[in-house]
Amino acid sequence: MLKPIMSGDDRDKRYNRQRRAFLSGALASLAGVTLARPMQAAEGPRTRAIPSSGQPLPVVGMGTWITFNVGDDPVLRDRRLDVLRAFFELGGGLVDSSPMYASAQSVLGYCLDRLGPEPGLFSATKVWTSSGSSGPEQIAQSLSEWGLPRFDLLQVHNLVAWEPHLETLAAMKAAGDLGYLGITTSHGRRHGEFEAIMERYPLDFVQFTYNMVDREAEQRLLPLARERGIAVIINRPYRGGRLIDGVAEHPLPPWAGEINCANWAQFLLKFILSEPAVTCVIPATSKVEHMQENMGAALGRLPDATERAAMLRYLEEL
Amino acid sequence: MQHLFSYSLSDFLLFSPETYFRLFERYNEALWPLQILSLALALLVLWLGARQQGLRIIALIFALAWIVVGWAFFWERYQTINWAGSYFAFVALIQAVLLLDFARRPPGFSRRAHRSGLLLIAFAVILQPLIGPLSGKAWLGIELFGMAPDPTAVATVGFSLLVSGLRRWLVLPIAVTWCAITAATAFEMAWPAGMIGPAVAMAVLLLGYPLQARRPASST
Repeated sequence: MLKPIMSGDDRDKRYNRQRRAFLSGALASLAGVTLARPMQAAEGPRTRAIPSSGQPLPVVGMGTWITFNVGDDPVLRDRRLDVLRAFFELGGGLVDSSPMYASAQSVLGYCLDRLGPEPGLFSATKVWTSSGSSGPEQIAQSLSEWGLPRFDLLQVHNLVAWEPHLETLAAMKAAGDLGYLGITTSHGRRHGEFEAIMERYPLDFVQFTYNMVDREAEQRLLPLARERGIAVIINRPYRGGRLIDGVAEHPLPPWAGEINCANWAQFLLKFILSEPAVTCVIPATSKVEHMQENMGAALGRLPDATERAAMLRYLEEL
Repeated sequence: MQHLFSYSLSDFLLFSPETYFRLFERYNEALWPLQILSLALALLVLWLGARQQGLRIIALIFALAWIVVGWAFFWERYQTINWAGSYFAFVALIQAVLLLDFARRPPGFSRRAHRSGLLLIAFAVILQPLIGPLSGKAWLGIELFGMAPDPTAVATVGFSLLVSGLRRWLVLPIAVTWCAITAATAFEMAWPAGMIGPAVAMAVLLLGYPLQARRPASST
């Protein structure tokens, strides 16, 4: 039996209840991550409203590409359980996956089953099949793997068969079987077609790549999302790990503390989050300590336009 | 599947090195002590190959090796971290069928290139499994001929050099394709040691066939 769709108020109440419960245990952990401005932790992680509903969403989510595809390995599954537990304890909400990510969804289901019901989760996955008619079957399989009665968000992965899939998702949403619908791309692929769909269809979410190096989205996609009232999820914030690996050996700029960045993860994520059209960024990690660093980006102040320019200059000079 | 062509190579690396390496560790744990039998059969291949005898048995061992790789590795394990694993399992079984045809109708040993083939098989059986552990992987994750796809594919390239006749070409496409896939996987995982086996196979293949062409093949 599918749960009826909740109103925005209901969602907010559920969200706030869960948030209070999880934050009580999480603040101590966060204090260690954000030494520069410990008082920010008391304010809780930053959220942004989903434009189509007003529902607040924590600005740092979690991707599962590669990191949660560990098959049936019990040791690695339990390590990912620790990562997901830390994510929720630190105020995280949106978890993004896809049928393309092999076992990632079933590993998520394993973890969620052990964490207990409704641990602040905003479930986001994708439909990824070239046949429109097989979309419902794939979605049912994804629900089974996650162990959920419904998804908060379903996205058409990389625009594959996007027209029939969007029809399916719109029907599910109208029937109350889905919270939100959207489309995704990555690596800067097919931005022209992506933009055209954003202009024509009533989307709740879009997901694409944006980071301190890949900034093409600033030209059209981000302004268009803002103009059309579409929530934006940002993937590949570290360029698949290469960006953060590349800067790791260099020191942070001396003024990083002024924007509450204690490490490079927060520096790179805060640049993305300081773009006002961005709703949520979804770094992926397989390590609890990296999750703690990532979640610290949801705390403290964000850079302004002048500071964003300084961040870019600093990165270019490395 | 047309949409698959819009992806880049890195999109198809679905797992981390940690996950991939632990897959072999758990595989070896689950199949122990079959490794001993696998090694014994591999040494039998080398002994028979050196004496240029028992090509029927050699082909049977290679066919068995691909069946084990297809079923026990690709279907039972690899598929859990890569949805393409089921396709690879099917292709491995096709390779086994091709090799079974060599057992049914054994050709002769190649007079000149069989040495290159034998050396490549020896590399796949003895040296290639050591590359992983010597480059930092756990010994438990050792990849052996007849159980893991990489040394089995490299040895199969050696098999194609070992034998004569046009049919030898038939076992190359699958073996070479897997060498390319595993080299690409190692490249994307930033694990250069994983590219050594395929590189050696390609080098011996490129040198072995021109050498073979200089002399006519022997009969059985």
